[in-house]
Amino acid sequence: MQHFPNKLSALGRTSRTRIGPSGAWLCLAACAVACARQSPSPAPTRAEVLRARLDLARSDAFHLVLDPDRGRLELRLRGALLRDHRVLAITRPARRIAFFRVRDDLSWVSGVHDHGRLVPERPTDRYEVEVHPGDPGSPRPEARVPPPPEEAIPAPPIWLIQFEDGLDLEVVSASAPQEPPDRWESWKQALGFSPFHGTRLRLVLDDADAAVLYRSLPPDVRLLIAPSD
Amino acid sequence: MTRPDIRSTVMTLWNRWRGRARDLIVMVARRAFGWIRRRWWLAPAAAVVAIIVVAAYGTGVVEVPWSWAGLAPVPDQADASEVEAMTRALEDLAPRGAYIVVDQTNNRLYLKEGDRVLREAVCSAGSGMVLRDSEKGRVWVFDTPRGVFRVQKKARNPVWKKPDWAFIEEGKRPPARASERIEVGTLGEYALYLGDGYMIHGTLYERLLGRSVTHGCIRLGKEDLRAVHDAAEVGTEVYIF
Repeated sequence: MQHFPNKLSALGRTSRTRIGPSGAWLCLAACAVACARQSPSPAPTRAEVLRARLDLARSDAFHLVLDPDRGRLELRLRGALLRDHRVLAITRPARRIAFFRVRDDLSWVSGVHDHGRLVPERPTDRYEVEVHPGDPGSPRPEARVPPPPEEAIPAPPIWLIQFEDGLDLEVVSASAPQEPPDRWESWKQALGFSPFHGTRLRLVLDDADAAVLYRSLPPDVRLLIAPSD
Repeated sequence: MTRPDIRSTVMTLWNRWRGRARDLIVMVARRAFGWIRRRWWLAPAAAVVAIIVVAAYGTGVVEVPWSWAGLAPVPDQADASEVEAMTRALEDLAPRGAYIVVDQTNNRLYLKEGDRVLREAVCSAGSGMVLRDSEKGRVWVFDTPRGVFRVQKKARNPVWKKPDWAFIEEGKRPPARASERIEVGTLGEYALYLGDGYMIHGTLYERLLGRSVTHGCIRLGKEDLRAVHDAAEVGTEVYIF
């Protein structure tokens, strides 16, 4: 019985048999090299974090302080705690190649992030009226009873606070429906065929808490990610 | 009746069958190896399948739990007195005693002390309405301002000195005489003046509390207003966001 119709030598057979495993090993080695790239950024010192907190507290800007260790997101102004939100989970996106996680540069975590804005924007319903005093025919403002804030500004289940430097804080309501990931896009991003947006933190908040934060987040908010001690 | 010794039973069986078992294993291995050798394409095919599996299931963007990944703030060699001074400065910036926080979009007022909420109240903040006076070209936007304010004055049974917009809104011209601007009872039992005409005061329309209906002031219900008035002093900070 002839198993090799073409006249391959034993050496050729051996080489061919090894093509697959060799290729697999090469791929794994490449992945290991890619994953081994370490973040070059040094960790900030406690004094630096304290200085950043102090600078924020001295400014007139509304700012958020996210303490990932304690799961707290605080809204502060001039040293006063205005509101704090319990964060149920904090995650960030990471690329994975051949089951190995790529170590991304996380230097964006440090420092103060400025000009946070809501996406989608909060709807504003401004009622405008022009009155000509003394003219009985002039329109008067209607005695309108506006809906309560929960109805006037419905909060989406997932929304973002986008900062000037590219950081996105994605706020997700705990009961928000989980959409299946776009596997093809995810694969392309992991392998670098499409841009990977790694500067994103996903915060899961209680539904009511997420909605309240969406409705009341002041414009141009700043953010510091730091442990609170 | 004695319990059977499992160990000795197993050993007896093993001694009896180990030769045959070894032969069987060798035979199966040889056959398997021969079968694989005759099908040389199996190895590359398996590798391709492995690569596809790795690419499909082991490659992609995943959500991972937060970790500092070596970026947690570390103690440094900074001057201890400098750190202490910064900590003290941070504490000094925080309000002392009771303070008031107003969430103007959600129409909530909080009376706080430190991190504790002493009282939560439903309030009403600015409607955001835009009023234009076509005669003089003036425009008013009825928003509640954001920022830090201080209680400048406290008043019991306050009297409202109606500003121009209150007349324009009614389609009237503002009166020349100040006495015609005075209105009693509209502001409720107490008022806390924050400056620039903004106040925390009461209302005749408590059913509208919780909705954004005011001209920029903060309206409170009777009981809450009394509690806030009693807790606040002149100089108490009011944070509106």
